[in-house]
Amino acid sequence: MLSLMLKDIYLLKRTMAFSALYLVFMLFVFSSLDSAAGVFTFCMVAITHMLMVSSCALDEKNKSDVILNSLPLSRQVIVGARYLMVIIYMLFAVAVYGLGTWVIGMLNMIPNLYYITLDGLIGAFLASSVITSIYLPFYFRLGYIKSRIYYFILFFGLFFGINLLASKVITDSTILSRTGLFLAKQNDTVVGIITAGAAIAMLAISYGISLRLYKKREF
Amino acid sequence: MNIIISNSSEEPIYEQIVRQIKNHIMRGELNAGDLLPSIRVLAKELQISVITTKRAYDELEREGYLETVPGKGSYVAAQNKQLLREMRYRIVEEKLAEAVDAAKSIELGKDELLNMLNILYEEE
Amino acid sequence: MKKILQVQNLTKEFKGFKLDNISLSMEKGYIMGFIGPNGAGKSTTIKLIMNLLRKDAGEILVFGKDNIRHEKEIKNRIGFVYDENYYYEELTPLQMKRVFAPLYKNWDDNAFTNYMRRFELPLNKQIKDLSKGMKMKYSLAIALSHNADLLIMDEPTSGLDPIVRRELLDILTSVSREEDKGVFFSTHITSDLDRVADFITFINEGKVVFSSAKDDILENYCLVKGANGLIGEEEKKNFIGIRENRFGFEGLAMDRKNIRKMLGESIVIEKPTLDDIMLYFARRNQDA
Repeated sequence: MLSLMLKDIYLLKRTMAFSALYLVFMLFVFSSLDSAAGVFTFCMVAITHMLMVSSCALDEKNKSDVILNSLPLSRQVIVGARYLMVIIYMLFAVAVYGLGTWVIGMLNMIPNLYYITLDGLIGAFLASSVITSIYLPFYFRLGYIKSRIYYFILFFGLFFGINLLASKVITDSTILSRTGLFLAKQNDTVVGIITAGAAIAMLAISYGISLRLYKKREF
Repeated sequence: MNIIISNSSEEPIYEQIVRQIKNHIMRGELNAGDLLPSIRVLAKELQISVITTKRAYDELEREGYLETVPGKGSYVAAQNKQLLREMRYRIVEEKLAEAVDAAKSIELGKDELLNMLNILYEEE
Repeated sequence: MKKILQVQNLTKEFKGFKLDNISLSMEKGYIMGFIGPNGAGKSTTIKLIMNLLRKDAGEILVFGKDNIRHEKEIKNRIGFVYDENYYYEELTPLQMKRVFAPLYKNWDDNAFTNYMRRFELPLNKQIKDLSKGMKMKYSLAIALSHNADLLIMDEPTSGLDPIVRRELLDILTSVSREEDKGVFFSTHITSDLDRVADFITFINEGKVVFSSAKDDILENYCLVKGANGLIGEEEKKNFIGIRENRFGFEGLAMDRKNIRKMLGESIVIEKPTLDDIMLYFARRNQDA
């Protein structure tokens, strides 16, 4: 398991460096917008997915399913390593974001910088988990090339969905405000636990589905 | 001990090995009690199948040239002097038979053949 | 002798191709050549053994154990080399080794270092910058560095120059003869196997044509050459295949004594190569 994760880190070194630059760029872009608060969620989702998809793409390019499944590795481990790596990517995104905002804040380059808060962290974790949980089963069933089509549909679908939702929240916020009210009544810890729990449950279910699909794959 | 394998020869490879090891024994280059390379080493060195070398050794063992001690290897068997002599005698006989056949095929008479033999024998 | 690979009635059907009731078995310390024309089902068989494909029917035992139920244990003892480079081209041999080494229970780092040195392979160059021969040697170094008992090679010599091919064969013979490893080696370049293989399994169009000791095969068949007038329809029945040209014929047959008796002294009878045998069998199936 650790071996496979090491492999991803070797492979993604460059992509990781690139994603850090990308993050700084996004910070500047978002600072000129009003919705500065969304920047963290956006960056985390974007970085997590950029890394995950790059890793999948490199595996496909190298036809590594053949090698990985010839090694003394169970398919559980191969699938599991991917999910664990997603969590590593998330942590990486948080670290880079934290570091980025800290440096930029010190230099006082951007006026309305959004620092990480616990709420933001949990929200971003949830968002990244949703997209991961939907994408990976497609990947494990279809391989990278074919899964991309579904991925684009889902990715854009989600983003437009969020936009739609966001605009709904601004104009008519009955549903969300009710959920919000419910959550607001709880203290922050409970909300955090519920949200994080939901995200983890989703990843776990997704892992189960991916594994079932991957076990049926032929190479 | 040299063993030369020809791939283009009609003679099967195992027979080439058998013949050459026999020759080494008859010429006294291999003596009773000498350890031969294992079938695996021989196969590796000659770049041939283990089955081929095994077959050659089996054949030599069956004919009494080799003795195999399990776990130790194959040794040149102690040859009975009488047997060795008989063996060589048989070779002479075989070669002479060939010569007779060859002579007959060109209608060479017995006297002429004996004459030829006399000359060859004296020459050496 | 202990069987390290047994395949029984293995069947797998795809669209337009069927691997049909394949059976073969091999013992440790021997080299088995797995030959057949392109598309005969060699890679499919190997992928089934490695559990990369799921069989429709049959049984595969490696070291006497079911290849799926004991997959991990078995794969710890298998070294594999495939015809294409399936490694991560962006990594260096050293990085790739660091990924693979912990996965094998019996990884031997000294052996790896020795092979890397012997093959003159760079540690810190990206794998994609290595030549085809070097990539194969790198796969071989990995395959030989975890005390595997069985080496499975799918067309390892394809696309390699004769020097590297010879080098590979030398290594395979020495590991099989000295270290008692079994080598299962698929190829359509049979000249690689004419000398060193102990057993030959020949498959054609998804079926096993024969699977036995190479010496027996080469002795059982003979290549016959002669003048065109010598063979009529009746004589042709004794041949597996015949090629006729304006100046004579050449054919593959089984019983050389019988052929000699039938066709007389004017014909030439030669030892066939595996290539000859493969060619005539493949042609026969096409004609049929």
